[in-house]
Amino acid sequence: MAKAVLVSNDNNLIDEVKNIISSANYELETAKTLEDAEIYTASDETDIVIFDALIPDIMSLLRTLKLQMQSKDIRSVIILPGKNINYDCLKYTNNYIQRPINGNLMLATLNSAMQFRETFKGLSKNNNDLAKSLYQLNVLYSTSTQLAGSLDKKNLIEIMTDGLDRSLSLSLCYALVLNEVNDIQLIIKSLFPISVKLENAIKLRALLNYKNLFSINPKMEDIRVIKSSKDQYGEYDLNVFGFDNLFAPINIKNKFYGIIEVFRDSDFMPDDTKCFSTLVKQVSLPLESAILYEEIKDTNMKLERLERLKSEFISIVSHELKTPLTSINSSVDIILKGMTGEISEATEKFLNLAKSNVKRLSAIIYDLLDLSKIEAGKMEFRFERTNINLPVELVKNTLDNLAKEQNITINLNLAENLDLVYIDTQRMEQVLTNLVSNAVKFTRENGTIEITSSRISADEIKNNPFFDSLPEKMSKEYVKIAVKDNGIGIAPENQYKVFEQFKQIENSLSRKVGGSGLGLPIAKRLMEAHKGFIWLESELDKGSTFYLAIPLMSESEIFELSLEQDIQKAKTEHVNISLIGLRENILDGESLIDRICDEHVIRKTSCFHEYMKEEDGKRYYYLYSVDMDSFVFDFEIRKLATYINEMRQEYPEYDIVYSAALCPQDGETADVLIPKLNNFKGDRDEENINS
Amino acid sequence: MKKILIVDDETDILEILKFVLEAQGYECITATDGEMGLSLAREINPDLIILDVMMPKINGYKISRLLKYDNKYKDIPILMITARSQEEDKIIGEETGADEYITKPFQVDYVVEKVKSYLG
Repeated sequence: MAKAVLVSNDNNLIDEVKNIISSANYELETAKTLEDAEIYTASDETDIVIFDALIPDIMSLLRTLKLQMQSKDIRSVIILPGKNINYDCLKYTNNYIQRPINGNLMLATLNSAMQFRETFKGLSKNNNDLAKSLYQLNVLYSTSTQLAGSLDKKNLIEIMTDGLDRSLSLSLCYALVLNEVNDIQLIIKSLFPISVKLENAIKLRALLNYKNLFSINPKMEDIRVIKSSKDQYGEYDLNVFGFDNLFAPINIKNKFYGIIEVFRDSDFMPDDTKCFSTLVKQVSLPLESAILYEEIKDTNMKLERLERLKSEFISIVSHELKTPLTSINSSVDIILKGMTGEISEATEKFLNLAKSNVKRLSAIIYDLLDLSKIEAGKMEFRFERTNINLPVELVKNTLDNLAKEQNITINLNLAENLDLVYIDTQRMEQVLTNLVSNAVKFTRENGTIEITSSRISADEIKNNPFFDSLPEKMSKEYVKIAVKDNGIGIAPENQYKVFEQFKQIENSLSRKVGGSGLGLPIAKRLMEAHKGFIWLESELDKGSTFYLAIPLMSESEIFELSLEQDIQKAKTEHVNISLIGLRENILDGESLIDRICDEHVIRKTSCFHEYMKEEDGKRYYYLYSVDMDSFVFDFEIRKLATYINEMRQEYPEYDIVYSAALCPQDGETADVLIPKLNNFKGDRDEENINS
Repeated sequence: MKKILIVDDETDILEILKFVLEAQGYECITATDGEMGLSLAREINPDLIILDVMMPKINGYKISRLLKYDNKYKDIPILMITARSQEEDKIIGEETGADEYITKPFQVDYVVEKVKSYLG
């Protein structure tokens, strides 16, 4: 039955209306004042309000009630006097009737108002449903975004339960997941504080549900409970199980992973069920990734540990080998020198054999140590600018005697006026010694070895079929050293192998001359450390030529090389390194660097490396600091990037192209912050800013 | 006769060095650990000391530092024997004040030559 309220203080009118309405299906109430009327308009029960236009202050009454009626979708009808009509009233009402009242017309008006009201009610319900769906969709969206951003299993489950709680207004939600054996997590979210009794009940229910779905038998005491409650209401407890509930297994790739159950004090609608299952399904994929990620991380850690162990093992063993080797060598020497008495010719022969093998063994140990040092990034280099011909001549002179023993001639053909190269002279001598002594070993008697040096462009390396892949960044020009012999040569299928570890080619001659088989792999690594290249050309029985290319580096390339080495050092020795790259307009007075330093952010110390270049009216400024003993920065190193970003905004005239800080102790950020050297000098588009 | 103190925990090496140096007419006193080496050095005030770096109790660096910073012993030449490469030990060595570094595996001739250069 529809409910109408008549607002009037005219008893005659009230009776008249009562009479008309009594025949129809309406319940009529009356209100004589604004206060009375307000009670009715605030009620959900009221469908129609009928106003008497002659009630005092009708306009203010209508104005006061208008909003409330609108919000409740209450329809309004005004009864107008026959004459002197105040049409203003009509602005605030939906329908009108004129006096004298025609009963049928009045009922028709009321009925049409009722129809309106019904339609409106339906519409606004749809509206509410739409709003709810929209909200659920929003939650779904934000939840799936969050899910995609996490690779932590526990976190993923929490994001899911949180999303469910937000979209479905849950009273209680629990998820039971079995991570690994003995790690069973029960995540409970509730509106109300969880009593011990309820917690145990949830545990039991979760376990029973779990066991129904899965054959594993977890025990109550193994369950780790993670609780969170909004602490708003205290009235629910065990009766929460009587609420409407939804239940679902959590699957990863069709494999059972856990269960989730939610409760709500009002019933779940079909939309809610859909939302629930969507969310639960959505967590499956990120969970799978999370598990994969964990596995990969685990494997990587194991591999890294193995690699480290290998290097450490080689290093320790090599050191340990040196002492017994010394004893053997010295003892043999003592006997050979006749210090223990005369020795026979045969004794001398075999002792010499022992001695030469001890020598070979020590060479292998040195090679192994070098290799383990390079691999562990612990090889120390002392780079300097020098003329490449100097180490070449030195190596030639050292090996001349060895060559002469076999009647081999070493010829030098060195280019004059070569620009200086940036090398570790001692290590370059090691590489050259290796190449030249190899040439001596593999050249037949009366052979010749030719060593030449020349200047080449990068294209010659780029076009060399020997290299499958080349680094992105190369210098423009190189110094090429060629060591050419007319020895036995290397078969095409073996030409790559000679630079691989422990891959001495099966060859009677190579067996005869011995060696660790590590000389060329080490040479290759050493050349890589110099940003250089090593390759060969060879023909069986005709001879081999080994080539070295050493970059002719510009100032900035040298800066970058030393930076890269320092970063490597910082990583292995666990020290801090920080770096700023600036491109600033040339302004009068202080530079931005000075300003940063002045503001006590950075103390300029001796471990500050800087490089400055002027080009096209702009000054390119790079500096970095490697801190071996203490913090160079007065503030947390990671704030550097933030600070630089602030500077960017504050001083737009400076163009800051790069900023990064690396703190290897802090495992979580180290990898993220390792600057990409390729971008270091790059344009703004390519910059890699860490903020 | 010039006195040489040899300190090394490797008795084989001790034996060899003793044999070779005695053959050159030096008197050799040996110690098998750092503690013993240090007290012998102070007691007999040798003309030269050959020190192994890696030793139990007191290592070679420490002995060298203790002697070189003591006016009474600072003029005794010290030859250090190390299994590590020279460059690695150089930094620490500069502080310890050792006069010479000999890396393992060494040649006995080289040691004799070095000793002779200090003692004649």
